Amino acid sequence: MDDSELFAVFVADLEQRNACLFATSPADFPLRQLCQIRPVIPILAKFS
Amino acid sequence: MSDPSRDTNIGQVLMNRYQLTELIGKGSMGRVYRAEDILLGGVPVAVKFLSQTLLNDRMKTRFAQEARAGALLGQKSMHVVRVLDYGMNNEEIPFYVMEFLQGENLSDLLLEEPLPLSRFLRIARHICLGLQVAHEGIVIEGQKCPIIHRDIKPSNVLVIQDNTLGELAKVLDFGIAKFLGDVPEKGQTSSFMGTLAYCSPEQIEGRELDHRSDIYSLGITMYELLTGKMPIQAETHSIGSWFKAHHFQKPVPFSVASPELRLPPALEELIMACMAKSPADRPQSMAEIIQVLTALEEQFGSGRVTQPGIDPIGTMTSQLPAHPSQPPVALATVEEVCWQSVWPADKPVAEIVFPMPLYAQRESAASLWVMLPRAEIDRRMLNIRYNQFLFTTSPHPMILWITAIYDPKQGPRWLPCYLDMKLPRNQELCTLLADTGYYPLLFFPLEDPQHCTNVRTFAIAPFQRQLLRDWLQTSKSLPSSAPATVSRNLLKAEFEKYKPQILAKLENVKMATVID
Repeated sequence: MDDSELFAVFVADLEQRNACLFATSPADFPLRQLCQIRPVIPILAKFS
Repeated sequence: MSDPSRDTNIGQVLMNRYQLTELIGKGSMGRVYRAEDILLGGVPVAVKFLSQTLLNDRMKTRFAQEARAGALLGQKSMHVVRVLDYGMNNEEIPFYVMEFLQGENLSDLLLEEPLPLSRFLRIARHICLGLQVAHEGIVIEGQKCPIIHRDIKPSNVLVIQDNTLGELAKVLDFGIAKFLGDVPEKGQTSSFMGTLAYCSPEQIEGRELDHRSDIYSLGITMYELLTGKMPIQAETHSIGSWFKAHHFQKPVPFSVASPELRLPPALEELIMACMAKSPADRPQSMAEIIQVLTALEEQFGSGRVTQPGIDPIGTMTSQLPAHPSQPPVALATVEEVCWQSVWPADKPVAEIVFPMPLYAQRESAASLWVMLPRAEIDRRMLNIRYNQFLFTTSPHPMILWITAIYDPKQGPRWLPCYLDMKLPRNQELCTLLADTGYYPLLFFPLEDPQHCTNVRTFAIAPFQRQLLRDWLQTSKSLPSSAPATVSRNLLKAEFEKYKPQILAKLENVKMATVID
């Protein structure tokens, strides 16, 4: 799974939780870093 | 009430946003008007102008300081009148915009009769809560600056009837408030500011003050609220005469001033201690006073509450939905809940926004939670606020709840939320938004994600509240003909089209002289 796909999954997961991410592309958002630091979202934990 | 034909300000639109409709107050510092916030669809606000007779640089600075203190303190306590905006009109006369409150000041209430004990206890506690946040201070450029009000008296406390909370007291007019740590201008260390009958002995001397000066003024105010009389009388209304009275006259005992009055001894002692000549002999903090008042309030009731269903403090046994991110102990107000909230474990520590219902003992509200870098939170505290709601009925009922904060230097920070209206939790949020007419925005710093550090409140225009009610009913009755994501994408596209229009409105609002 590349960053774009991971990003899309992450955004969709957040949307399911009523939350909206400000970053609009993986370039603006340290997604892999977040996965390592805080795998709180099950979908991210799965990929971390 | 004034004759509008005599006031050329009526009808004037300030910063392309606030239309003045009526003169509602005049004082030595300036005039206060009722106005409508056109940008938000006519939400009523109050606008205070600095008096033209005081238009010098020093008073302009002081007025800006008052606005700034009101803006920052209003975020921290519902017992301080909230300042929402600041600017200059076309004639360069500074003004600031406050929440519009329909109520009476305590001075007017006293014209009717002294306050009964239970009502007094509630109002006095509210005043103390407002002063407590001022004494604790506000953060300016990373530094905590305690504020002393310096003019506590009945006419500077407004009592309003809140639909949810019942009777609320709010401290207003930080017009001569002092930021502790301010370097006084040369030659002004001994200048007197305040109201003679309520000022502390050290204040009338023009000495350096601390928060205990407000405690003295509060003591005089509390005495007057209970008896309708002043505890200390000067022979004449001159500074010299009041100097003598505040330094050497003992307050008249309650038993002499109002022989029929029966007060709990703890209350008499508290008020007399507040009026001690030496600051060291007074209660040393608002917390001490609040502790005594709260204990008495639990014993003697919390006064007039007009809203049915609201019980006196500590007696309500509400069944509140539990939420792990909200404090385990039920707090009385939404505002208290905001400050105690912690970032939920199921949300990432990232720059996101999401809605959340907040439940307090006495009220509930929808709220928005946002995480941003701390520096951005600090920079955006005095931004213009904007909100709007959009709705699509098909293929799946969904509301787009748009919130924006803006200033010309930083541009907008869009805070959109999409509410799938087939979900009960979002129907509840919609009900709360429509019923309360406001929502708090809670800020959590990215660098210290655990705690809410700032709160700003957004008003919802009456027509938007009605729309929300209508949309809620429509959503319940309409079937869904496609997944929610389809409607979300439709609203996202719509939002992109709306952004330039909203931005144009925001840019049109003249940002005025920035308070800092």
